[in-house]
Amino acid sequence: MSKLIFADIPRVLRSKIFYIVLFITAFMAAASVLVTFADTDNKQMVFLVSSNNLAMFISILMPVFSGGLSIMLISGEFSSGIIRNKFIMGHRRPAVLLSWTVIYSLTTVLTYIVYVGSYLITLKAVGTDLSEFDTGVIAVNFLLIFLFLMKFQMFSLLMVCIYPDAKMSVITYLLNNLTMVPLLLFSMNSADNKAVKFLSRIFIYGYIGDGYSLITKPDKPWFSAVCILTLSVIYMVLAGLYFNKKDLK
Amino acid sequence: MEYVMRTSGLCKYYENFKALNGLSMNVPKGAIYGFVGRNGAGKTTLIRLLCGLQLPTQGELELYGIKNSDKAISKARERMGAVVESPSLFPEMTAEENLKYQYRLLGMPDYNGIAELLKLVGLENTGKKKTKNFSLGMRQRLGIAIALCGDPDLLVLDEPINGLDPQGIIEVRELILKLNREKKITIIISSHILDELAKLATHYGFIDNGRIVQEMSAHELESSCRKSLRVTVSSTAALARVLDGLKMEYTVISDTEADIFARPNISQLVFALAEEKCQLISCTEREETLEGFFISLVGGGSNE
Repeated sequence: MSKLIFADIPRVLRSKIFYIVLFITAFMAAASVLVTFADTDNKQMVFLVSSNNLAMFISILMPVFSGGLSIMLISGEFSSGIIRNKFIMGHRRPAVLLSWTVIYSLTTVLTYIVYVGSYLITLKAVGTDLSEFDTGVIAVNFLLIFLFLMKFQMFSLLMVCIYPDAKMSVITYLLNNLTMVPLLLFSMNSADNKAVKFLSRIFIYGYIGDGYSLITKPDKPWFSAVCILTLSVIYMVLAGLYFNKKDLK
Repeated sequence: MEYVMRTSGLCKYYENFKALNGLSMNVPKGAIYGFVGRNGAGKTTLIRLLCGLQLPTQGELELYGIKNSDKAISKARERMGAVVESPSLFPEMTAEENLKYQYRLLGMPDYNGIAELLKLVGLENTGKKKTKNFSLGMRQRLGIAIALCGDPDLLVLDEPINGLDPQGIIEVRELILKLNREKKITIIISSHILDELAKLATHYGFIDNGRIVQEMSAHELESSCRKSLRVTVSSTAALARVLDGLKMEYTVISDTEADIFARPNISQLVFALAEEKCQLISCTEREETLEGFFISLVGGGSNE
């Protein structure tokens, strides 16, 4: 598997689309702070307000960017036929799938680091002092958001294993993301509903309905982490089942 | 005889369509095995199974003696290279970058050998030209170079001359012959362009409706296709004695039929046979091309 990873990492790092996604994420993070800063004189309020913008961006747009990036790069292997070379050279299907998981997890980590980095640097630049807030809570929230993004990566992997055609898998991925919008709307009016609260652990939209903010202490974060990870594993197992039985051309 | 690849009763079904239906074939080591069949006969399906892109529904496939059900088949595949349908290339990369990617996939410690490979396929001067700007022939040759990364013993080429211009066909043909003769690489080459295949193959497998109809060496095929005189006599034993006496090459087909690979003087032959108390009943001149032979095997219809 290491051969596959070492072959693909330089390819991903050379891809223009990867840097476009990084640029957009960095720009959006900085913009969320700067737009808020333009509206208020209170530097601490900048963080409070922009963290809501951040939640919206991370929960809706970032999965589209990072998941879409993975889908396009993997689908490129199908359309160019490179996937054939991997099998002809004796690489086994589980190894190929795992190498994709590792590589696209790394791209998510990089994208997320760039986003958070850009966000924190811009906050510092406008003079916000984060030490006044509970940094432990902020860190846990950032970690939960990361797991949430990883869940989307696994979902995009499943989509690409079902539909190797890039357009088809991107469309299906986006449509599936849209199915979560009703949950978001429902959660806004039913924050006390137990089912909504449970689903909120998996779909971060629920947090928004409950007034999500980076400084809000999450309820049972470990339980949320287990829920998200379990769903990620389910996606990955399903992807493996599809991929192992798939007839490739 | 040592075989690189063998299949036995291999089947591949797509819902109700039987792409391969009990295919059995044997590819001898060192051969250029021409895999002949009409479009839709099952050539590409077999190659996909061989490359591990698809799994057989039934039957067995052996690569270097390792069965497809054995996990070690992946290891055996490291000894083969293939170009299936179209060359698998990254269009945004140069020829050298594509080869480097392939080297990394193989876990090669360095990029030594890339220059030699590019030279072998005549792409050493492509520089920074991206493969999306390559001609079909150049892409095909780069595809072969990629398949040759890691020095395989077996090269599988699926319709390698499809769509090439005459110059491209000659280049690919010469490359295949060079690889087989100089590097001793066994080559399986599928094609429905029979004239071209006839210039390359040392062995043939004729496929129709997902089955091998006949396997034979080029020598056997040549014998079958040579210009000959098909004679019908009352006794081929007597005919054999006469032809031995006349020092003529022949093949006995049955008790009453034989092919003579010469132009005998018919009067002389009739007299000689009469002395052996044998009658010459009929004689017909025969000449068959590879195409004619193939049609006689599988019939004249189309699968398309």
